[in-house]
Amino acid sequence: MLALVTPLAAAIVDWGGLVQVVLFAVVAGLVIVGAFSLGVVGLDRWRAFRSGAAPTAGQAAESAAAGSISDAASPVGVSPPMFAFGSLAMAIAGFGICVVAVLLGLWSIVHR
Amino acid sequence: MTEGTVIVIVVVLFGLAFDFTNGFHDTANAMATSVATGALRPRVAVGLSGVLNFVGAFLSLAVATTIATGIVDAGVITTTVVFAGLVGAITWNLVTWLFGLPSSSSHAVIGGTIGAAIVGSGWAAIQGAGIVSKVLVPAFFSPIIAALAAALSVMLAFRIVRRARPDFVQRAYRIGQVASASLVSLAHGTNDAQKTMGIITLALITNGNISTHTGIPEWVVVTCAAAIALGTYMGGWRVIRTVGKGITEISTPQGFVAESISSAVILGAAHLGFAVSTTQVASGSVLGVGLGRRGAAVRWSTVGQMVVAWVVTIPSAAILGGAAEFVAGRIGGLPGVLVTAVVAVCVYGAIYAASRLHPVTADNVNAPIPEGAPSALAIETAPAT
Repeated sequence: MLALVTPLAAAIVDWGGLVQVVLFAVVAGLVIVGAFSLGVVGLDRWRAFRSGAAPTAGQAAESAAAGSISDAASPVGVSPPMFAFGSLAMAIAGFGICVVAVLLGLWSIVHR
Repeated sequence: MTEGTVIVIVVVLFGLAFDFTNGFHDTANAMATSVATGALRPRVAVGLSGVLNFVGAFLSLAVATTIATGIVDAGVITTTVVFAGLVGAITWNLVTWLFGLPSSSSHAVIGGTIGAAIVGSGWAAIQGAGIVSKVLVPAFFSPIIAALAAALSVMLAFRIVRRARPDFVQRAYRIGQVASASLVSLAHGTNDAQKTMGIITLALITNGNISTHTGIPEWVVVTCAAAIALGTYMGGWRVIRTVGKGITEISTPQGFVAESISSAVILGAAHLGFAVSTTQVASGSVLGVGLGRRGAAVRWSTVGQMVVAWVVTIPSAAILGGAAEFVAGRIGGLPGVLVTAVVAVCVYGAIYAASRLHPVTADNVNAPIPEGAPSALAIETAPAT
């Protein structure tokens, strides 16, 4: 039965193309969502700094110990302005990636 | 005016009616999560989606004439077959809308055309390999791919933002959700309006009104864009409720992820040469964000109803399209088409009347679903005081 079905499935289904679609969907999803989320975290920290509610070194250490991915931008021992500008850079980079993704999406719609 | 011209006019009217149902049936694909999370007010959401569908319809005409290519033998397509296929597709779209089920409009029109072609010319008119590779395989895999990508992405999103301030996170994702939902609307307008343009153009070519080299007439492009935009603006609230509230309770980050994954899968698959159903991808994404969030409850009864609707869409639309072709063919000529059209319009009216018994509108689309309700369309009523 399997010997009969396998060549039939191979003839009808473009498995290579299907794998490409799966990889594209997963990678694009993780990149877009990840970039936007890092952008959100970065902007949140930048705004907190601007409003005078920046995290202390102790909070950052506690946060880093908890293992949050977003804590990559909160290194212990970095001065608050450096930390804030690092967060802003992370926000710009994250949202920038999303803008590029949207432009690529529009391009693919127009140039179909 | 010749008999053929009158039939073409009827086909054009039914084509535009199909486009309209396609619009209001598929509003949920782009806007259900935005409505459910409150990122956009319901009327604003459908208005924005309508405008973007209208714009999207003008962006590309590349696949407009490929709707039935490789699925049905082009030699058997007559204006009556096109008409009967549309009758089947509209009927199925309305039935699934009545039950609030997000089924694929593309599959409905393909099924309707297959059924009409079989009744009109026999089984030899069908290209089985094309149906499997172009319709069934993408239909099976696309929701799974979307669900997988959405589940992984939503896990990542919650992990990244877990220490940010919740109110700011909500606000930021709300803006992102509007952008990603807009992209889905634009892609939907480009994809789906083209299908109706292709169907109407096919009828015009078949009747000899235009030649195969003429391309799509401008009036066809404009009317199809307007029909899908108007349908979208009417808001298929029943389907919006099922997708936005019925599958799982969606938070703003989940809504953003669902829309982002939908646009990535739809546009990515199209770029790689796979035509996927916008509806199935959008529903799969919503399911995925439900599965990927710890503690989120997925209403498997709704998912089950949805999957059944997906499985039976092509056969059901084929039966309806075949029945329309049978009636039209038995009576024959213009009278056959007119009688079938009148019967179809009466059925559509009855379905609309049935929907008014338990209306879902912009005002109650986000109302809670009662515990243990068999359908996402059930509306929780306030306890009597």
